[in-house]
Amino acid sequence: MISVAEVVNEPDLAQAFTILRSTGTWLNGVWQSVTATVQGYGVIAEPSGRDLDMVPEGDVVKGMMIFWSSQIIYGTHATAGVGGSSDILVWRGENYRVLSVKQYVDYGYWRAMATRMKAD
Amino acid sequence: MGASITYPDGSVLTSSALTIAQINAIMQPLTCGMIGVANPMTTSQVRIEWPTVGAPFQEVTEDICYLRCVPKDDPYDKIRDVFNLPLNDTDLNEQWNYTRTWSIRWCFYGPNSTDLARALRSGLYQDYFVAALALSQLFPVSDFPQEVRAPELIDGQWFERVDLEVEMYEFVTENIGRQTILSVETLLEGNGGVLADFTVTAS
Repeated sequence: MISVAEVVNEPDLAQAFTILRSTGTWLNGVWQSVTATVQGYGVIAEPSGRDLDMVPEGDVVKGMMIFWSSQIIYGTHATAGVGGSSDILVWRGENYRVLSVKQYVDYGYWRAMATRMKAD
Repeated sequence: MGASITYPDGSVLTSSALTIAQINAIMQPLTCGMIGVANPMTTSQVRIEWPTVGAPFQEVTEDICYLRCVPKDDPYDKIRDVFNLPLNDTDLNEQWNYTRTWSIRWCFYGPNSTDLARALRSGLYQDYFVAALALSQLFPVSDFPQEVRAPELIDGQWFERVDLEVEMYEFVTENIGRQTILSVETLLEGNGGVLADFTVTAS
């Protein structure tokens, strides 16, 4: 099989981002997590523009990003109550919560679609 | 106890009304007790809904109860009893009492969800739990409806699911400290100047 890792790590295309990876468990019925910071590297693209929702309470900016990386990117996962919420990917000062992960591990990469977490 | 609020006129409202975090902290261990979970602090078997940053969902083989506490509209909650507390200083203290209504919903997932919901409903009738709730000024409305079984299709598997919803009254006490006039200075002036200057002070 062809490994695409070479492409997603190509310096002309790839750039650095940060992965905030949480692991946690339940305490008093509340999910308690700790976050570790992992350096990420890969190709980042914006599948759609920034959408502005003008709701009565104010302007809500929405946006999706796609991250290709040869490093593992986690969606929410758990076994027997221990696990983690999906990764938060930080790029250019903004946080993106992973909503969907395609595990093309056989081809050398993961593809994650993430949604913007905070408003302007 | 909820937060104190200072009004623009300087009056201060303090309320016994439970916050969401407080009622969750009361109901979670009691729910554990009613369904026979020994360690409410460390167990993941009774979970509070709407985790801020999300949380992993359970496996189909696990028995998990999800707890939701939401205020509910009720005609009973519109009535306020107001009276003045005996004065022990120069401030005037009013006490307002009313009944707040909560909808407490337990959503059970897992192979034993029907039996756990039945156990919880039985627990609600027990003096031990009623007394424990009363310590927090919570009083279940004892018209407990039957639990509703509604299995749910998640990720290609049918998860057993049972819902139970109960109303509870919360007896709320609110105190309002109103500021009063402590002294009044009176000045009498005639053509020739000040005739009298005296201050009346509250005893």
